[in-house]
Amino acid sequence: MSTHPQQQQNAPAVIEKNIADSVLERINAFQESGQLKLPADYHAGNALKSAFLILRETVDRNQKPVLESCTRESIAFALQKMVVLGLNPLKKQCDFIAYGNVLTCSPEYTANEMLAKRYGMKAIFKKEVYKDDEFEDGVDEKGRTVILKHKPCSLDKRKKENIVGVYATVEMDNGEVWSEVMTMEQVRDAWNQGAAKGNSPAHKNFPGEMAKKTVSNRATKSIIRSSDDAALFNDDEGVRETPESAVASLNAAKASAAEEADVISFESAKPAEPVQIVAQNPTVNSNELTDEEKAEIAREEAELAAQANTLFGK
Amino acid sequence: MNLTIVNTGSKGNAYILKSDTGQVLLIEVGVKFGKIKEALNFDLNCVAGCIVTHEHADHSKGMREALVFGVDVYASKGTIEAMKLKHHRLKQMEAKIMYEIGEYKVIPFNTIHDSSEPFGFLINHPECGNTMFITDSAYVPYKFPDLNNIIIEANYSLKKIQEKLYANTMMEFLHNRIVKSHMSIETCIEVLTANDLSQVCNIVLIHLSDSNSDAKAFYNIANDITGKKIHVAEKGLSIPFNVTPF
Repeated sequence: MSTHPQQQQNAPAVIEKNIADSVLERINAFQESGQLKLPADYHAGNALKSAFLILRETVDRNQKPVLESCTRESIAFALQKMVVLGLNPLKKQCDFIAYGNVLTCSPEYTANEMLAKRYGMKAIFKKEVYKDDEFEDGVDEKGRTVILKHKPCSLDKRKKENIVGVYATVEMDNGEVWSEVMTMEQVRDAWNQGAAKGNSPAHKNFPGEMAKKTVSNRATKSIIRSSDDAALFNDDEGVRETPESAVASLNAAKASAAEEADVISFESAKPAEPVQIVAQNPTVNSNELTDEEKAEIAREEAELAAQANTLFGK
Repeated sequence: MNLTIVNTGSKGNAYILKSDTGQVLLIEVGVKFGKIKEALNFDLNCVAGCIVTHEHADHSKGMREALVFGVDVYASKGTIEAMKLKHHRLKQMEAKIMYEIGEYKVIPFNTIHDSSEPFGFLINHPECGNTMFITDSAYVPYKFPDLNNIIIEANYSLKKIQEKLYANTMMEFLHNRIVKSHMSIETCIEVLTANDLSQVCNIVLIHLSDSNSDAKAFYNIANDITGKKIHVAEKGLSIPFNVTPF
């Protein structure tokens, strides 16, 4: 029995290693077979390592470590979801939550903002609206919600119970700007869909901040869910070139050229073929002797014969 | 031997090498041919030929007229095709093959530029020795032993265009295009120091950008690092161009 506590202590670390290896293996296999494509700026190994740092400290509602209380399958699935979405848990882009013995990966609103940025969102701004604010929204000619005016009230009137609404303004890469406006009632309805039903300490103490997350989720949802996976492929075909990447690729090209620089010199260069006059003059065929050349040869032969005759006195 | 710069830079390039016997090799015809005729005192009999690096107008503007006036023009297959010119005096060259053009020997080699098969040239003449001519090339993937004279592009200063970029006075795509297709003074110095300069007499910096270069600073850097006679090319400059300075 004396070894029992030690075993329990080691258990999470062993589970961690086994699951991390098997998840990474599966991710690699998927990537190699082309079944999974991850964003180029995402490192699955780093994210998995980060995930285990988080998971070691994560406990379920009975204060038991989730690595012990949750099934291996659910842990593996949660990690796979994290990797496929390209999230990093150390950056609080997703939370691991245990429901009974099932671990789930739940993307945070920051993850949605990051994903939306991958799909063409440039920036998102969120603001709560107080009862005494001068606030006016409208609809532009294309049917987009726009904020026409928002002048916040004085600071002493900004009480959390006075929050009447919240909005998020999204700026896209192409310059398009639109807003998502929610009344506090709509926000509370959304909270009621969740497990805490808007009664968690965070919801009670910081309704403004929580409402901003809600409206951010709603604004980014339409961008993410209507996106294709083009962002994943951009890095292979026709990446948007930045000044830094232009200089970097020049330096890389210079470095590789310097390693195997060809030598140009007059000693090694092959001379150009002399111009083929033959081809331009069809009356001359280089393979046959001309009449002139034949006569010349005949003359030389006759001369040699004459010399031989005089020498040997035939 | 004498080197005359008819013009240099993005508005047009034309360089004249004239030997003591009076024979001329034209490098580039990126100006109206009349300007070259003027620089040659309207004597075209002395022209052995003309070599052209690539088809962009600032290097080839006067090519058609040159051909009409009976000058043999040499260029790469890609350049000739891009020029869409057909003429019996237009002669195709291949990289790393030596061509004899009158008294001059020329070896073309490929350069790094956003055009169709751009060339640089290694030129040899008894008077100017081995002369390297490189323009419009982001970098130089070759080594040249035994150089006597160098004509090389120093288009821009990387520091300067980056400052302009961050000050929002230069568009990003333009910055990237310059970086990918022209030679910075920084790269130019790297090219110079990568080669044996012990026998080099003149280094001529050409194709300086109007707005992204600084002739005085470029002269100083090149002078400090190489310790050689540096010339910054400018319109109308004419310099002795021999194996020795004497």
